[in-house]
Amino acid sequence: MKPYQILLSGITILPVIGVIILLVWRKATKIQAAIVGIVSESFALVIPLVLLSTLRKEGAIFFSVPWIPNMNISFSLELNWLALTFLLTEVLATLAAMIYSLGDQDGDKHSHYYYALLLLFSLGMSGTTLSNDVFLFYIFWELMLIASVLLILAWGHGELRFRVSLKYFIITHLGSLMVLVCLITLYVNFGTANLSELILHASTLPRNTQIFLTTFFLIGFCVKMAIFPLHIWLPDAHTVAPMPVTIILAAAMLAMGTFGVLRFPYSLFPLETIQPFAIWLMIAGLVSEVYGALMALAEQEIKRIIAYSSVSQMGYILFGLGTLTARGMQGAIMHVVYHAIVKAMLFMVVGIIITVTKERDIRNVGGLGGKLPILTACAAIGLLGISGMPPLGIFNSEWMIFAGGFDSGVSIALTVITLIGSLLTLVYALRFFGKIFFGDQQPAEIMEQSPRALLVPTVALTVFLVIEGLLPGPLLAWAAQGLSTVFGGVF
Amino acid sequence: MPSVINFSLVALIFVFTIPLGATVLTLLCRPEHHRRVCLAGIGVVMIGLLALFLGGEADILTGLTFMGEPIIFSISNTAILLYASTLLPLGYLVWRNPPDETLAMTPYQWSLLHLSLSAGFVAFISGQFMIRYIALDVVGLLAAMTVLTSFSVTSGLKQFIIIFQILRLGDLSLLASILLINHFSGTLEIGPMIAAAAEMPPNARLWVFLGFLMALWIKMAVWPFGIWQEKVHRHAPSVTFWISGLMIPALGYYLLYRITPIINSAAIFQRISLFSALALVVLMILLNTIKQIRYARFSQLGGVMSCFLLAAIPFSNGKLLVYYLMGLLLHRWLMLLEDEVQKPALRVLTVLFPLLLNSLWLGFNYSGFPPAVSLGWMVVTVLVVAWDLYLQYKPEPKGRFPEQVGQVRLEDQPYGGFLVNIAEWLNNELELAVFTQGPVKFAEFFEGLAGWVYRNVEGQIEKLWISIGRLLVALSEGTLSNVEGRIEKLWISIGNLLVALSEGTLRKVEEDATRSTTAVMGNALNSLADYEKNVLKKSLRWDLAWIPFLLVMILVMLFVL
Repeated sequence: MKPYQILLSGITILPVIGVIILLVWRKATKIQAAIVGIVSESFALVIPLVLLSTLRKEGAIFFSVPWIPNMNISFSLELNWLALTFLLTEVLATLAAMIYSLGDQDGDKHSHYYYALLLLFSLGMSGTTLSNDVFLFYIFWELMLIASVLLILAWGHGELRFRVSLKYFIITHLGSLMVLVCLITLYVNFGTANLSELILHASTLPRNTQIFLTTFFLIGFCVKMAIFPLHIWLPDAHTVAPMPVTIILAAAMLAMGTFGVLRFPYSLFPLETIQPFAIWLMIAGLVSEVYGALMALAEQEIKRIIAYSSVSQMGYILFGLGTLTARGMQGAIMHVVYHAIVKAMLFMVVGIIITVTKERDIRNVGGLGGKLPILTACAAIGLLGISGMPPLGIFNSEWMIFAGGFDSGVSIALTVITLIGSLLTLVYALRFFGKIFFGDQQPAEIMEQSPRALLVPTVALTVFLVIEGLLPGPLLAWAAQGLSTVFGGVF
Repeated sequence: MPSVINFSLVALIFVFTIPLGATVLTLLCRPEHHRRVCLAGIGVVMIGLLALFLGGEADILTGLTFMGEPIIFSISNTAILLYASTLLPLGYLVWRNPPDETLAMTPYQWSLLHLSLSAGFVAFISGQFMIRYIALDVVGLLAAMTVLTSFSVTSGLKQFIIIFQILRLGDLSLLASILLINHFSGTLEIGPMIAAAAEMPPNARLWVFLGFLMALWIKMAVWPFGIWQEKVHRHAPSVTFWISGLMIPALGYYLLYRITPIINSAAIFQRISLFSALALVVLMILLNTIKQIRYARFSQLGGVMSCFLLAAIPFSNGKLLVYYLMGLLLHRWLMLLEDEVQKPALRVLTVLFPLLLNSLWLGFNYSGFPPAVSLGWMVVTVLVVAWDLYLQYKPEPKGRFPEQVGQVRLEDQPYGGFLVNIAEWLNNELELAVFTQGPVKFAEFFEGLAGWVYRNVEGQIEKLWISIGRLLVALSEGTLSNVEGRIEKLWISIGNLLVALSEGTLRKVEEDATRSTTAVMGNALNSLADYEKNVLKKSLRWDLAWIPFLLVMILVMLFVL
């Protein structure tokens, strides 16, 4: 085994060491626990970057050791361009959330458990993106769910957190079970859990089986993506979860659904099998986009407004995936990254607003614009960004998605409606901005300035958002290579 | 030796960066210098434009790419001329504006002006449609931002939202058209795109045309799509209104000029352009007359003249269209000045200008117009002038146009307008009632079902078991009393019987035995007595007495031997 292959395993192993340290070190203060968490998580960021040059040469890096030989199951990882894009997005979002949590009151109690669970949550997502074994994939997939449920349950806000976490668990687990059915079917049919091998052979399955599996995969992953009407877990979970967890949920975990769609049905089956689903995915994407935006417009709870905007943004991504065109799907992958940055940043803004005003109802907040100029600027950039205002990042991904819509040849009208529907994002974004930052109504209790510990990561993400928007080249190249991984060079 | 410096590129960068530099200077210098900075910036930009003009028409490859597409700047005299002719009135406005008014302008407002100069320049000369689109979008945002004055005034933000949303609708329509053409042309370079658009399938071309038409109606501020301009006119400081009043319509005019081949690629597009333009003019005059709408004169007349341009496109004649465009810009310029200085002489000029411009256009271009259209063209022109004259007798109130009586105050209107009602309805009826309450109801249903099952099934089963238990108990008891008892009785009886039998047997046997024994004993004793009596009567036989002695002797001998 080559050194870089062993290094790849470090992405999953080193955070585990961090978890163990945190579980053992019970007397760790919040800062100590955070440092352990951040350092452990940083390995998951540094290692892929170190492996980048090798990845350019090799195209993909594999690591595999037998796990359950009798069942042909191995601890098998694969780093390819698609995985890299999603992995870095997830790790960056987690790191941002961990840094943000230093200034946040959530997680003050039992910090070592809190950061251990954050690490496990992230590990679940890292493992999901890297797994080259369906058995391993499912374990990481469920680890992600369990860790997040525990975080909401233990550190969530309000008395409803038990019910909310139960709802979140049951609904997303139902989706996971649908995925599990597919994975078992594949395993039983081919006698192997190795994903690379399954990708080679899956197209030999009878067409009806392929259609059945694609349907189940898509529904299962759409639950994770919170596509209307499977989104019902999202607003509550985002609202009740502590802010750093909300950031990871919105910025990273939703992306796992997109990754699942690309990694499984799209990679396993030929385009002819996926083609009948295309228009339905596009329609579902459009409906989700419009519905999420309207709900964000009607909502009064500031966290829920941004939560619903995720439903809307995931609609764009599904639309892009549904186009089955190079530009549409590249746009979808780019949108995942841009959305992660914007959403993480907007939730940080929301967190600061809640910290500063002690209010969560938008009707009770107002006039912050004159008081908190840096926060106002960040919010303005973030909201313009999510509205697809050029030259901020989401504009790049959106127009790729829309161009993909036209390229698909499915329906010009459908793409035009989706494009014009994006105006709704602007409507709720401006309402959000206007209600919070304009007017003379101010909450009774208000801090004079934003807490620096919270503001620094927010500003950093804002700068990153602007740079990413101005220099979309590398991301575009990664998205193109990722797509090539999925379709074996068809696009 | 070939020149290593591309002077056009240098001039281009110069024109683009000077306003950006002016923005920085504005933020740094004292308020009394803002006006000078702006005027100096405009002056330097004009010099740069002159250099570009002298450099001649050219496509400049920057070597940069955006999303994989090369960034090209297309230097054309038309674009330079249009841009320069929008700059001149800005310089004049800044120069002539009362010092107290310009002093009142904040650095923020000056910055908007400078930034719009840079973005507007890119929008004019970009040879790549996506970069042009981005620049247009940015100009739109800057124009909308001119109405934002303070964080404490919500009405300003609400105006901003309306203005920006309308402008963005135009931009998104434009984006749809660009992307659709790009799908067929495979490039984002404007020239090849326009050429390819004319060859697109009719269905797709219709969408492209409609997208452009919507974008044009909005950018050229044609009623009713020009409501955004009216709002900026009411609420923005006069100098910054230049972005909305002149820059954006000029960009719209230039866009229309560039897409003329698309409009002229199908008769239906020409008719839609012509008739929609004329119909909008007549409708606006009509509605204005019956006081259904009340726009400021600038917005009304500006929109009407834009309609004339749209109507003229089907009969355009090369360079003449550029002159007509320039004439329209000049008219807007005069209107803008008239709006500021309010001089009667200038007002007469602005009233009669449409008549002059349209007559000249028709005169120079008469061969292009069919007679009926020529007649219609002039009739509508006369109608517009007459209507404008009529407005002079009923002048609008001085200053900014007031809000209409009975209109809900903007401050009291919700953010998002009518969409909020739809969203709230959906939120209540679907999201809360179905998707949020749904799982709760679902859970409650299952709880109820479980309760019912517990009560009705589980309870019944329990009752059944209890009954069975009771039955068994009863059976046991019954068995105990009926079977077990009887068996017991039987056994008792048997026992009793046996006892009785035993007792009977014992009594009988024992008594009989006793009796027998007694009798036997009596008999035996009697016999023994008798025997003893008989024995005693007999004599001893000594002859047999030696036998026991003999036996004793034998035993002794056996022992000894």
